Amino acid sequence: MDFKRIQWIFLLIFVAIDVFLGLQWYQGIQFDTVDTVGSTSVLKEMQGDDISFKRPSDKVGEGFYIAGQDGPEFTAHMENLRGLSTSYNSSTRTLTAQLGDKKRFKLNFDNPQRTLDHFIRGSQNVLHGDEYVFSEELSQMDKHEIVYVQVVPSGKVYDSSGEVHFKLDDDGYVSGYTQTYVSQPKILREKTPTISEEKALTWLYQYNQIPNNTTVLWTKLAYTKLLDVNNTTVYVPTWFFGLRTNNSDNVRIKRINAFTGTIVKDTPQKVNIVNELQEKEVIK
Amino acid sequence: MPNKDARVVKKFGVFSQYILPTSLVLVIIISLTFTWLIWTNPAHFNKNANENTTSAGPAQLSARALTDIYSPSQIIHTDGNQNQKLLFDQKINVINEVIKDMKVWHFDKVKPIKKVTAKEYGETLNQEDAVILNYPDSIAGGLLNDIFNQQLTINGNVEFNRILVPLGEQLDKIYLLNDANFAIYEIDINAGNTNAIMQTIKQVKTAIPVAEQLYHQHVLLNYPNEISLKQYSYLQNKQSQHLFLNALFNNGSNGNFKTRKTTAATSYEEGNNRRVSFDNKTGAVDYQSFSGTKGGTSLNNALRQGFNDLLSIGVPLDNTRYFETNNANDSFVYRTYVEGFPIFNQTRYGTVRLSYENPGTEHAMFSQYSLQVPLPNNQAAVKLESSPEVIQKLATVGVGVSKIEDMQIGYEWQTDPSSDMVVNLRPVWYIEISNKWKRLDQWVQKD
Repeated sequence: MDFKRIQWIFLLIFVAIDVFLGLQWYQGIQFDTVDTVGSTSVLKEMQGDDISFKRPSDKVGEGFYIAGQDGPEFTAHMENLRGLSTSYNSSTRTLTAQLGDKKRFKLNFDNPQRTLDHFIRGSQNVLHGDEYVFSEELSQMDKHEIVYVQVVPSGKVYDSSGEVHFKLDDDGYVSGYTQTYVSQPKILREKTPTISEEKALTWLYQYNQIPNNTTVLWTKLAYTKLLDVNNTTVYVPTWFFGLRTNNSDNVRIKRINAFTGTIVKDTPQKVNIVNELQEKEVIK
Repeated sequence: MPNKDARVVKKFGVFSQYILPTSLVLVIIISLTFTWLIWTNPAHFNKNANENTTSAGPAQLSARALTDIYSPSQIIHTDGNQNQKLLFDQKINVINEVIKDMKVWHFDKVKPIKKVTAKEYGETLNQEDAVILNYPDSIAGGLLNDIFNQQLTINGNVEFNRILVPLGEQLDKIYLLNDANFAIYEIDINAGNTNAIMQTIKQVKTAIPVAEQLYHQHVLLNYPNEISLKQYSYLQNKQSQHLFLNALFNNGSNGNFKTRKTTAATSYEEGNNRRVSFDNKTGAVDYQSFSGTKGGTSLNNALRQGFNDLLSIGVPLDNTRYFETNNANDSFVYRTYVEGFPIFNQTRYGTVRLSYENPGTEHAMFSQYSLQVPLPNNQAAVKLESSPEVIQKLATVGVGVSKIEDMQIGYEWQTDPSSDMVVNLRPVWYIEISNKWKRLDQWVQKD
């Protein structure tokens, strides 16, 4: 009888062990399909921290360093604009335009680009307007603003130096816009592989940039300003993540340099080597 | 009734007499099976490995993969008249595109071609209608599987520095060539065609005329015409000593190291196992470790180990490629490339030199300085002599062509005299004679 009881106890214990091991094994194979070793368990860890996101792609992309000028050159043909009052701020390098009363128009909030695409392409409305495209992600940031971003070789500029922001009043009328523009964007160096979306996301998490209870709303690979040198700005491919903490409505944007995997700082590095570079050119 | 009860008990007794032990054995077997499954499942090991890197911080992670470092550095197209052209395009990464085109093929079997003479080797190299992917030095055959996503069984002693793809009507074979011993291996290709490669080549904008030429016992890439190349400027980055110490001394966890400072150098020692010294003036770093268990047995393993060590050092690996090894295959040089050409003079050796000369030791030489961001510049292009002129020049100082081990166009790293933040890269001929790379003018000046 005692022996039988021992057998029963053993049976129960082993059933419990089996259940435990089974669970362990199941969790182990769950992410087995993905080949990138490190990222998978980090993604699991993120889910554990109540961070929700769409499964990121592990494909590497390609991109360039791009140089351009974001000075006032683009405002040279301001006389082409009609029905607008304009002013240029040379410290922020921003053109501000107010639409005259006749020119104001109402926007359909669900589909703002339908009307605006037409407007922005008119050369009497926006300078170089045909070089901008609608950005759904950035337009979600502020109810009173619709954002268009500039298209440069092989990508878009998601940076305050190449955007048009349309201002909306409370009734949904477009009252004006601010514009920045990158002149003569050109490719600096050969095409170089970028890190994958998956790597960028997991690294952002590992840099402690994604708080718990956060939703990753959108991800985007676009250009951002890295460096001001001379009168030239250098742009680098960057992974953008739109984050929203679950207890607030604010969307915050985090950026990872897609070449080096480092965090892109809010203020780009300014380098003053202008004189040296110019001197050298004189000597040569 | 009691009788009946007793019968039930008795029946149940019989039942439990067999069932209980059987199920006990069963659950034990199940638990053993699960244990075995968990132990053999690589995902669990990865998980552990990853937890280590997480605690070490993202610095341990790399933006670059093994296949970036061991990617071919040149691509040459031979047309129907045996004219060879070096392909380059700023907007298309030609080498990556061609590799992508080849990844969808199935590599079937590899076998050596017997008794290849130097002449036959030269002929194969110049065969019409082909694409050649070049490495600056031999790599292990085993890396082929990583680069092209294949599961080919390759003998450990297969080494190669060129991959030749015939672009004829029907694709059934590609070739691996090794300049060091004139070995040729052929690989059977299933389910492949060259249409995608042809498309890629057609888009390429820059094609520099070249010729792979056999001189006595070695092959040199000949530029029959003088060529002009742009100069580049980069913003320079200096990584702190602290950063390297963290990476090299296991996160500096015990902080238990001796520091010795002189005006020339700062050195740190951790016990008798690790030593690193920084040249205060040049930023050159010399790291030695005696605690390793590494037995760099084959070239394949050594190159893989090399990649891991590159990661753990923590130098930026953008555009860094494997450049060369020594005769003993225990010392490896990696260089940064710009627009398809290697950079010289970053340190005396290259971007990083790794040596495993004695078993269990690792010796790494690298620099605190690295290229950070390209800067726009308007400097004039530099004209370089044609190869025949270079050979001619060397001949005038008594260096015959047979002494030239290798010659390459490279970019010379020059710190800008007026700003220590800027590096200028100037194209110049580099010649390797008795295992030393020097500028052409340095060799010519010598005598």
